[in-house]
Amino acid sequence: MGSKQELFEKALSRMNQDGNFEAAVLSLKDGLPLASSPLYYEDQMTAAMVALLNDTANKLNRELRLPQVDEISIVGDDGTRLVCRYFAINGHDILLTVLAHPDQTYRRLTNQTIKEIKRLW
Amino acid sequence: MSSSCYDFAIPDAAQFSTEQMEKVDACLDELVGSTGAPTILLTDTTGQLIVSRGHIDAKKAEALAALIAGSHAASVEFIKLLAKKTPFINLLHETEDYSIFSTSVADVVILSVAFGNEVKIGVVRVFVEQARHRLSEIIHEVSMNNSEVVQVKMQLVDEEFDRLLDKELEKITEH
Repeated sequence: MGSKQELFEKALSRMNQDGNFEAAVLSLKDGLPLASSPLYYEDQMTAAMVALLNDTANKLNRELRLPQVDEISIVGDDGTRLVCRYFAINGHDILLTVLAHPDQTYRRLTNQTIKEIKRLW
Repeated sequence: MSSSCYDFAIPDAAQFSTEQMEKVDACLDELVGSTGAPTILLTDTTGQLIVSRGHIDAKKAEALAALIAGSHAASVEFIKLLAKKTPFINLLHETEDYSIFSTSVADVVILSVAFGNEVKIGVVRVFVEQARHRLSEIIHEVSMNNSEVVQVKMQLVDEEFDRLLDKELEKITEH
């Protein structure tokens, strides 16, 4: 059995293959990366940027009294989508970020991966 | 000018029973498995190495233990100057190739993890925190078993106190 990071990386890699995603990063809400696929993707920068998005989401929640945010997506004019999925494990707020090609479905696969990460934790 | 006085707690050397040590070993083994970190050290706040994991020379491990304890002691004093409470301290020494993340556990021991840049800091931080909680419980058991141990506290006082003391001593010796 590998380290937790290796197990997370395998889960992300499987998801990327199944969904034909360009990259995936698993990080803490404060911007510290946990795992990425491909291995040497710019995970530190992505995790830090996504943490900024998380701050914005928290402000929206507070100010507009929205329910807990489950996902934030940023869509480019070519249809490329940066998806941030939010979940918690053992009191840690975790973000799963996926870079998906235009018109690519992602909800089912990211849900499966979130379940897998929770199981592996 | 008013006199001020600073408290310095003399650190306790950690003492574990065989049973508690087995729990500590299990906790560290789990941490090695979770993080994949090549070297883990558990030291007490006096700088004594309690136990280590990974391929590290014993002398190097002992030297590291003392240096890490010194680093934590300095950080505790920095933080005391800036804030009043120091429930625990995390230190990260980061270089290009490897990093050392260390955390103080219940003000008694310091858990340090050395890892290469292939290991993500988030993983180290999360699983060190889990280990810190587990070690805190073990240390709590230790302190419950050794409740008769008296906490030693040392007070350092400023120059004004020294001056007044000198003055009084001079008065006494004049007669």
